[in-house]
Amino acid sequence: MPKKINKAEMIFGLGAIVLAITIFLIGQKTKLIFFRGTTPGAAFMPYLTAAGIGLCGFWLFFKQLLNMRQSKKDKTNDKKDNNTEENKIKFFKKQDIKNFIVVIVSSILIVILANPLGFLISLTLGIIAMAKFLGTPSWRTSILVGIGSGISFYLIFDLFLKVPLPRGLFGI
Amino acid sequence: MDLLHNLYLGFSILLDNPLAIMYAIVGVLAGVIIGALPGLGPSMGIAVLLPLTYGMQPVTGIIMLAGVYYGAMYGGSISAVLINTPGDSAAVMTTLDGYPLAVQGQAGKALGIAAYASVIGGTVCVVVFMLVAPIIANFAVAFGPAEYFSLMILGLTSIAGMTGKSPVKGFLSAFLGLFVATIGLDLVTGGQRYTLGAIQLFEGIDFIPVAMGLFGIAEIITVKNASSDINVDQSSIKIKNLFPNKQEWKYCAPHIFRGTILGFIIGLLPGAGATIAAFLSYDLAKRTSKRSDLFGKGAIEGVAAPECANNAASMGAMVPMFTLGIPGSGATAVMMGALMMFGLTPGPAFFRNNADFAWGLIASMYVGNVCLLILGILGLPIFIKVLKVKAPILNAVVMGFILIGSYSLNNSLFNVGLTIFFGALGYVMKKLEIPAAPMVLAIVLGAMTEKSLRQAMMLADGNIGTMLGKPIVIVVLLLALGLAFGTPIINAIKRARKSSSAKKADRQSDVARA
Repeated sequence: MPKKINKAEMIFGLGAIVLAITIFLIGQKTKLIFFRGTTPGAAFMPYLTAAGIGLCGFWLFFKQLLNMRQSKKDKTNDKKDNNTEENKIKFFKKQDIKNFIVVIVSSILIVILANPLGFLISLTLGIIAMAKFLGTPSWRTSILVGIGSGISFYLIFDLFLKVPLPRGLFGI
Repeated sequence: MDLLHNLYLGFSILLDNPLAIMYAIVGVLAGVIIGALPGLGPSMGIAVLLPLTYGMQPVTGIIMLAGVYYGAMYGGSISAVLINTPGDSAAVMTTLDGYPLAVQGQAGKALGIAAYASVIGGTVCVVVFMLVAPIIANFAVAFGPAEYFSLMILGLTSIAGMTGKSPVKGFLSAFLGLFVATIGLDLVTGGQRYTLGAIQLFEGIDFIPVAMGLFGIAEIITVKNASSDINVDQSSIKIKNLFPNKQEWKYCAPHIFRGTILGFIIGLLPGAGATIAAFLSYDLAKRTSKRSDLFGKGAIEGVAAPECANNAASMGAMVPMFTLGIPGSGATAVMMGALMMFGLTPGPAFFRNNADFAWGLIASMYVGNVCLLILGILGLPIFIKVLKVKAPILNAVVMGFILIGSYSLNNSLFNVGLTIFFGALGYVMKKLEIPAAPMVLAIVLGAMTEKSLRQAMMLADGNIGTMLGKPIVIVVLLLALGLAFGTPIINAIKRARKSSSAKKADRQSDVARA
């Protein structure tokens, strides 16, 4: 049976190798010292972890590379097997991508709007958007949930915990 | 006598501070609700509720978080029994017999025994915790930097090697965490490391945004919008139906006893955790039960065995955290981070230097377990209602809580940005089956690991051989290697044996044919 290929794992492995090299290069550029006499310097731990990240990344990358080669070999040996998609592991599911975009984009917008609108207002708007676009059928429910959460957060964080939240245009 | 005196001290601290008891109840209640929601586990619960403890006294804050921890361990069983979906991985085994019982109209009985078994497992283990923890702490008092470093390595390697499907991915996660922990000003020279000139990074990256992102946001993105239609026979969850009868107790008692001991021992091992404890306890119960044929079809002892073991394991996991400063799981890593946030450093000297705190916490565990029993039974109708709340609404509210919580840490929007970044990274890691717990643990332990390593190297004049040559260090490092690579090595040997025996059999059949 042909081995399954996980391209995402391969890319992550490659990313880990690039990160390891970057850690090393930044360390060199900022002149971090690896060893000072008999004492480990500021670069000692980062370089050790970079080596670990690089090795693990290489392992993930190399393993998938081998799987890819094996799969190609198996395919040429067995010409009947023309279903190439079957050997690939599907990384992204539609629902996950949608959730990812809704959650991350809404969160970023909350941060961007926190200063001009005020944190509580931007958070309330963000929660309404998230509730709606994550799958709540009605706008009414989403708005009620958002306003309810906003009031609860105000009571807990502003009044009870006295957290100085950014207040925007409306002073809330 | 000392023990009883200390316990008395703990209870008197607790009684002097009625707010602490109230927070224990709040923690247990919140924990049960979070644990009951599919996909949300104790690690996420503790990380998300951490901001609520910012203004509290340390003992009150930790009492609440401990309540969340063991509340969530029980909460997982509610959705496991009612909708055949475990609230967290530790409740997976509970579905096997819990759901069939619910289908047979005995949901109340299954939930009742889950609550009793959890409380018995938890309470018995608090007693054992009380007996064992000071002994381990006294033994570890003489540890130097090299021994500490080896202990940190034990914690990191075992959690990296034992969580997730591949040790390489676990180690990658741990290394990433160790790197994140090095960002900021250097401990010795005070120079900048990987801050890229950003002032916000001078103090380093706190573990809270990372834990909230990896455990919280990543879970929300990947959570299934599963239907939460619960068809429960309301009469089966009436209070009188939640009490198992004499015969059922007879079936369950030996399994609860064995599961509690097994769970505690497994909880002590860094990285092993409640899921493995529940799995092994179920397996042991199935093998030793006289009704083993009923397992998987609705055996009540099949619910009791994993439930007592996962709560026992959660207590066991607190022993290495408090006595050695090594958290054994994602949830205890977050708790340890919280302790450090309050200015307390877990380790051998913890019981001696913070006796009031430690014994107050132990006393609260007894109170918390009683609360768990009462709330677990009386609160069932509320928990069922919460389970009916649609996932999008719940996720949006939890996201709001995560974002405002991460802001409250330092009143900084930079932290909110970090939480979002780690949420996105956590999603990718989750999809690639790279466990998040080693990364969080590495961030919590990172600074201490580096400090111990550098001190030990200085004391050994830069000679690694001298540093690692101490007997305790050798034993601990060997244990770390065993825990990290034991399973893959055993699996490889098994595979090799299987293939060689298959080849032998082929050869023999060829010879026979010839």
